[in-house]
Amino acid sequence: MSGVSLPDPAPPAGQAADRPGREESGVMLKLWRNGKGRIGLVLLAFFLVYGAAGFFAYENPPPAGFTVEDRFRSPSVDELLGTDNLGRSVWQQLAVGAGISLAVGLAATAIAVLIGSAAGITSGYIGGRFDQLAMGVTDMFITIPALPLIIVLAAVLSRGLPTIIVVIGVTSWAVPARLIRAEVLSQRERTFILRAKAIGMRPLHIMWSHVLPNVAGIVLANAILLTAAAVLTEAVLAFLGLGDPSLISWGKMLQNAFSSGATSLGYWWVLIPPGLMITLLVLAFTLVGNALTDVIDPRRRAE
Amino acid sequence: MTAPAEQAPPGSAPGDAARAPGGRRRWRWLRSYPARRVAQAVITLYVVATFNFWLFRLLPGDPARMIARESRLSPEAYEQLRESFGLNEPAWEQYLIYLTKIYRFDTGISFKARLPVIDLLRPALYNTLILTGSALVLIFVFGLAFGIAAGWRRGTRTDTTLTLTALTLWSLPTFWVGLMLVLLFSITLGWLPVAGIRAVAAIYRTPFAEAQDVIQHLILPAATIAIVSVGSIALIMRNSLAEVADEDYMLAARARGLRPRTILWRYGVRNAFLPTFTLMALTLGLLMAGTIQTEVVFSWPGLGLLMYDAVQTRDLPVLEASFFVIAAIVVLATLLADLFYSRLDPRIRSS
Repeated sequence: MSGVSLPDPAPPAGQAADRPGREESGVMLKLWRNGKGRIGLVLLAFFLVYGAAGFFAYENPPPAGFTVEDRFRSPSVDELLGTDNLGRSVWQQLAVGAGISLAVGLAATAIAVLIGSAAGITSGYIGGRFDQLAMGVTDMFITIPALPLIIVLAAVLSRGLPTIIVVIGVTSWAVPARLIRAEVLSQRERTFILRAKAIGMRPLHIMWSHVLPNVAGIVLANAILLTAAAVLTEAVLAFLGLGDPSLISWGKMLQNAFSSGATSLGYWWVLIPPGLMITLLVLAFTLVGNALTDVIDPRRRAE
Repeated sequence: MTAPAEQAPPGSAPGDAARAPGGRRRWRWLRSYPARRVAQAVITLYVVATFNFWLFRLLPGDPARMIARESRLSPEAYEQLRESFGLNEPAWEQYLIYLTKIYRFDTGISFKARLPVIDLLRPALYNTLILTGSALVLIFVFGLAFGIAAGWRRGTRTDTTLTLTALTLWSLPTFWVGLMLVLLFSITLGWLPVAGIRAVAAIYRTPFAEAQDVIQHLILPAATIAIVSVGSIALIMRNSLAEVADEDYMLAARARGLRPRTILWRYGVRNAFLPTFTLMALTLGLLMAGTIQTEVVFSWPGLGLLMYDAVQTRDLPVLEASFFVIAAIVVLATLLADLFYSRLDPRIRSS
């Protein structure tokens, strides 16, 4: 996904189809042509820049104000979005929080996809009793409600960013595992796999060089949707007071606002912006993931 | 997704399953779909219980000190605590005792409230079911209506707008929706109560008055859960309707010159409803996630709030028990939905 170069809004028609060698840019182009995909990509690009800018421009957590007058100052010219219960700038906290949300979302997804791919590919490729057992375990993880499990784990383990990432990651691998296994099963009996087996390629090598590239598209689409869910879960955990206590994130901002009674006081500037940011970032990932599924799903491609 | 694991012997193609030579006829029912599905649910709950047990022992620090919430403890009191919580027995013995206790619904004593956990659980479960049930009704009505509207006008502007709206609703953090509703309807407009399930220190003359009060407190939390979940149900309904739209019988119905309304309801919605129903069962976990957040925002005294308070006060017996009950609700509801679906659609039993 590095170097997401966005083509012109109205590229010459049929350009992608003419060059079969450039499959990658073809997908990006189709994504861009898809209305959902375009909005999602623009939002995502914005958040990547915004998150990086916030990371370098401000410290996390932002310094608190020192006097009582600094508490809950309403938005003004010199403090665009006002201040929170400790007199910290809401504007700065928003920028700092973007980095945390992105980092947690991407890192947790990486863990989930790694475990999910390993489980799904192995299970689908080996098949038989092993597959039965592995999918039984996977189904169990799908049935057990994720958020309560995450809350219990986060409550018991030490508080911190790594805990959050690992806990979200290890509880969300089951759906990608199922998805990948289904793809592997449909790939397993294809001619090129049988041929690779016939010439004596080792299973691990076959999986790596033949099975994985063929399931990569669907894995990527699912990973992007997982990232959306991970960003949401991080916000919920922070709101419930289970996040890293020393860092500011959007969920933590809302927790501060909620626990300091900003809701009953009607201080909208500490309540609306963080939630809006979470929604937009989650929406960005959801739209791109959804559009990517449209683009690579052959059943819909036929339409 | 909760489909049973394939019964295919190694090497055979997936799909020609279930006909594996199956021992004596008497035990054939054990391999039937409902039996396997029930077994799966029981195993899942057993795993949750085991997880709870090990989690409790995995904690850093000494459980007895944790229970006492006091680092300075006389040696006699310390020993007595360890004895009364059975911490001096070997691990496997503690595990067996633990499992029999679950079987007898003996959930232990709350560290904080010093009450049997079950006395806290029962009213909480009841309140959660009221909240989730009301939300479910809203989700059902609005989700299906929006989904049908979008699926029927597939590809039109209505469809695009509804799909985008559904995705946006899904992206909303539930707890924030709750905060926004409070800010708008309780604080700014002053129409509905901010939190709780009843007015503080209320005395009701009639049961009707009490119901009215509870319903007033129920509106915002139920709406919060519904707003976030309605999008995914609408999308599921839309997609199954869109898939059904390409079937031959739909074309045949159109060729026979039936009215579009008839085609939609008698052929489209009827056939699209079943897959929607199963997928809806899969979103139960998400619904529970929404309920927990909503209960915290609105101080709705249900399982989610109980769990949240237990986290804040590190009240482990309550934390374990509420997690177990929430998991049990989801597992059992999913099981019921799967069994119901498999009765209605025989194809699922053989796949």
